[in-house]
Amino acid sequence: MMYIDPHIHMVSRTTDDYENMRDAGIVAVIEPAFWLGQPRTNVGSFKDYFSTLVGWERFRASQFGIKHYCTMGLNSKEANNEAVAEEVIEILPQFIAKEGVVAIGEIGYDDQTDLEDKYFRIQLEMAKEFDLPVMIHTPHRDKKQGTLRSMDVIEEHEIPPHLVVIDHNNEETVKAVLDRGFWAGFTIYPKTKMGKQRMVEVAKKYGSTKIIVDSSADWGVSDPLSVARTGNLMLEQGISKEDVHKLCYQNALDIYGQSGQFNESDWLGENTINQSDLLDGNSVLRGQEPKIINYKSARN
Amino acid sequence: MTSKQDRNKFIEITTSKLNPKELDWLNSKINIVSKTENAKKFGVFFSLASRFISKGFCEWKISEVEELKNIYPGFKKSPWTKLDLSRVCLMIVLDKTINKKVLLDFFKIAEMKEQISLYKGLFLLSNASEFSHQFTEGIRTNMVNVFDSLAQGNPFAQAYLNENSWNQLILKSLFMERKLYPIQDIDKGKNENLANMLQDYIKERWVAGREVSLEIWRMIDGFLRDDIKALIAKRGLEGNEKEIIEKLLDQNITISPEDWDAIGKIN
Repeated sequence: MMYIDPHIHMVSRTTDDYENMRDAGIVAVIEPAFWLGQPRTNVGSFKDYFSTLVGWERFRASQFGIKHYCTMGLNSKEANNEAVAEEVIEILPQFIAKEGVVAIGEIGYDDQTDLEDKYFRIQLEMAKEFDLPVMIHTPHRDKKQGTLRSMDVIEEHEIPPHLVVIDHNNEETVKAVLDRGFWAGFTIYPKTKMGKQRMVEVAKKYGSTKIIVDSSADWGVSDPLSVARTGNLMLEQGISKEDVHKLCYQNALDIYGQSGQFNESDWLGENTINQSDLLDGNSVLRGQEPKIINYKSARN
Repeated sequence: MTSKQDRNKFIEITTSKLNPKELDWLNSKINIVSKTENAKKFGVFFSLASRFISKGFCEWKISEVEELKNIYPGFKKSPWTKLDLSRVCLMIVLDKTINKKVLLDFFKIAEMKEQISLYKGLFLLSNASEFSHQFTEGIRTNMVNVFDSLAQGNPFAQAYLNENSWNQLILKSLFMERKLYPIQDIDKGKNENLANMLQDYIKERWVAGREVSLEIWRMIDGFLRDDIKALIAKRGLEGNEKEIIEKLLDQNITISPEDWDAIGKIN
């Protein structure tokens, strides 16, 4: 089974994770620009972070046979630092224009402050300008109201729901999101947010249309194999292969494919990775035996 | 240094390979960024080019390749996509009075494939020598495909790098297990300091029970030290290594650049 993880922060993950992800069938990932746990104090830190997403991390993933894409945006937490936020907004368009940037995101609300609202709206307009989908981060606190408000604002800015993923849903938010025509993302975390078993129940109840499974794995307790593990659990519990394929692969491809930057042909077919390409002081492999891995992606 | 005529020829050949839609897009952006007051738009156009220009390779006529090799020695030694060629056109048309700032700023935020096009294009700039510091920075990259764009078939290195930077390029090529023979004007870059560093590297490798690329001897030929000769005498040579080192030690044999290229290709 091939999987896509459409929301994962690989800058925080190890090469073991990359290897395990590839072994579990994950062929492509989308890394949304987000915060790093530690607040950034100047625009230069953002610039280097955005550059990493389209540079070193992209290269690092490629060495393990995984295609790496990203979204660009100013996250809601750091939107509260107005001085830095203004400068980030200035530099954002240069990064949004880059190849492999599949959406604006993750943007939305955290505490639902006025500043968060201001920069959310500015970035929705950028999505329109660059004709890109949007990935919405919904708040952990006051989730339901924050989710509804996010959708209201998107509608106010006249962005059609087929271009928007509302992420980090739970049983309380999913119905409203689907009813209004948006894509509903579910983050599967080992402890918080959604668990695998709960996701199986959601899939049983709501089916596979416009629902997306992701790991949002980052620097906290999280699991980079969530998508594959959830997919496998769904299969074990009688959800059809076709539905699992949609939930854990095809739906992500459909929504983010609308960017023109996310194409299955990028990873289908033979993909040989010669890790001996890398033996060098700072590179990914240090003193291990280089190996040539031959991955042949094929459906199922 | 390339002439204005060379640069125009490069643009002419490139644009002849684009389809009408691609050509319209590129021409309109060339018109915009060639005006100094619009130069700040360069970065976004350079990035957006990936959405409008194919990443495919061109089919060349022999005459075109000859012309391109005259303008850009080494042109055929590395792959150029239509996107690379078009991006380089955008670089070339930037006014000389502002291109340094615009390009150096953009280097800081360039993604992987953009870096490849940028490093390939520097040689064609009228003030190429002003970018040697950036090129040297590029040698430090660990992205193999970016490194290859600097090292292989790129005439910039031999034309504009100082000896130290050039030597780092060769050393790093060996550390990254890249081939040496596609490096443009590789034999012109032979020097004693490099040969000494490489011989120290051979000692380090051999003592660790590791092999070295047989191409390394190309850069040492003519500078072989006695301590390495002594090590060679003690080492049980076999196969291709034996053949190459014996030739190297034989005063009556000269290994030609073509022979070295062949050694690089088969080993």
